[in-house]
Amino acid sequence: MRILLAEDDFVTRKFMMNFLAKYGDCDVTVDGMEAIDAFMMALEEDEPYDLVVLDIMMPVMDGYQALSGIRNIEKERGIDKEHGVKIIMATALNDEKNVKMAFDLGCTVYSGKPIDQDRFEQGLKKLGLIK
Amino acid sequence: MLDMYLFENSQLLEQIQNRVLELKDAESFDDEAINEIFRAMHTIKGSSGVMMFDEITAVAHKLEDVFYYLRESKPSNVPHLELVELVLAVTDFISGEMDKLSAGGTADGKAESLIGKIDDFLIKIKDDSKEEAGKVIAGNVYEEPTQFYIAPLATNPTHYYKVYITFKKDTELVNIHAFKAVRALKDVAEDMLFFPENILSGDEAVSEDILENGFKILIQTGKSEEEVKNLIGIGYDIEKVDVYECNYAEFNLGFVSDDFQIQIDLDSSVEEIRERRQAPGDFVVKSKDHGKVTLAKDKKAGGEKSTYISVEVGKIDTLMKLLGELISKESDRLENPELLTKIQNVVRSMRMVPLTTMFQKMNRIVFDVSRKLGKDVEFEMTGDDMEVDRSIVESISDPLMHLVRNAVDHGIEMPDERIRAGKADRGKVTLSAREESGKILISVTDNGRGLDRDKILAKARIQGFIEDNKSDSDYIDKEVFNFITLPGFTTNEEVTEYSGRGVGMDVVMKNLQKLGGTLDIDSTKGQGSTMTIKI
Repeated sequence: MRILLAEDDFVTRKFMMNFLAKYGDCDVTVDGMEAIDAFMMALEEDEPYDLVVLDIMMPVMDGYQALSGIRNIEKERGIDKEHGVKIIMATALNDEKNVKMAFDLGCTVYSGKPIDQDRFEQGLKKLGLIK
Repeated sequence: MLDMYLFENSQLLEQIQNRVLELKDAESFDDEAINEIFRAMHTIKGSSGVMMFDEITAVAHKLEDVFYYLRESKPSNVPHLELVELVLAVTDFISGEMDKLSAGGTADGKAESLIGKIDDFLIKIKDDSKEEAGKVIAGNVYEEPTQFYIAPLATNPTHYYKVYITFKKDTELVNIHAFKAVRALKDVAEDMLFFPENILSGDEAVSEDILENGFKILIQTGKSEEEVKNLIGIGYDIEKVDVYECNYAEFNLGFVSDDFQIQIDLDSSVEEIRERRQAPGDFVVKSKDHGKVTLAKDKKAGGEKSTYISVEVGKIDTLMKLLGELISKESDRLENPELLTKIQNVVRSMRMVPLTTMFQKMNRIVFDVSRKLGKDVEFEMTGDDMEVDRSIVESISDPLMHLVRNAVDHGIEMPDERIRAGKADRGKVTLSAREESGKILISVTDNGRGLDRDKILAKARIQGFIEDNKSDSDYIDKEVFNFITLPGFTTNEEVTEYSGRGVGMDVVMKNLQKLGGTLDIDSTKGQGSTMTIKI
């Protein structure tokens, strides 16, 4: 599968890349703006991503903006909810308010950091991304 | 997030359990109870689904199925006690899993056999009622949630430190040396702040500040004090490193006297502040000057496990009213000490909880123990609406549990023995609370066989608790009964699962003494006993 990762912190980025590489080809961006660019580009080239993993606290554009940006692009192109890309927010922010906001904006999985790798994988299975 | 999940669901579980115990002697659950349990299971299933606790979700769904069926087709042949036990088994399973989660573990319990039991039960009641019902009931279908939450991996217990580094006065480019210390700690830090902040700006004044006032670091890490010290290391440049552990609140305050000040927004109205919700865009990281440094003061309290309490809404309303009064009378509030006292009393009362919850727990124990021992015991409670400080509830819960268990196990006789003694075959355990001259009295009364004075004395003599030169008649009843609270003393010939090992009453005593409480024992042979905790 094709994965897009947006993560600004170098160390975390390296870790996440290695971790996600197990499941597919992973492209990397360093902020929300770049992530939206990459997402658009993939759509235009007709090679859309299957999974987008967003950090929340990032420079230029945060993960929430990127999340709602992606959902808006999908809406514009007539992609319905069921066929929209699966989006995982991976973040150290963990209180209810943030989780709720992410759910409202249309994220598929909210995963607290440090990432629980077993359960992350369980989540991917539930989404039907891996077997 | 996980905290909230655990808090809400444990409340629901408690509510179900109480309802079930309340109705355990009824013919069947009434519509209200069926609906309540159905809804609670539905909620637990939903939130557990989002949290991906699959076993909990599955169990809750199965039990929901049962109550869905009860609600829709109202079968008349439900073995009630079996259902009661099934519901309790489910709440026990889920509570157990949640305990694991709140201790930082994983919900790894397997629900297979429990689900099997519920399935069997459901098939049984469906089969039995087929002839009379005959109508087809739409199934209760489970839909997977579309959004999931994964809790972060539990980390090592985290520590908060204030670090003061004093550099040697002749250190050149001291700001670079300070940055070295920051870098050394970066890998182990979960959160870090340092002062002065702009150490890489090359500003001479910053270096002077560091030499003059030292370099200060606030760090949250899983490492020990010693490890933090070693990471920074004392070299040719650093004269001294002081590391002080502090708590989360202090950590959040930072070095108050220096660079940090808490800002209280006095200009905006409460509504405005409440309206100021976080929105996308608020989380843009503004500065990326030197590595990623999260701002401690902006961080939510996530490191510390929070405790929630439920407060009766009426109390908060009263508090609000009093505060409103205080504000409107601001000018003469100093002449208004009664108002402040009132407010203090309300806040104090928020710490108070009714004994109901704890008493309900005892009800469960009576139910479990009596079922296991084949005794028939009725449970009654009085005064459970009395409110006591929550710390008292927490501390007397264990001793009380012991007394209740003892009452059912030792006190109440087997049904046939009771009939032979001319009593009703059904025993009774009463839990009551009352207040007497500022003390709280909680009694456990049973109408069982009572304490046997002669037997206790004989035992006490064998075990050497009685001085040889004293005869039995030298002891009054109360003194005799107090023997049972001595370590190692037991009159029970048989050791049961619940009691009789001679440990117990002395532990109860010890716990009570720690709290400054006492235990009063009163008993009449053949009539029953009363154990009263005074605190």
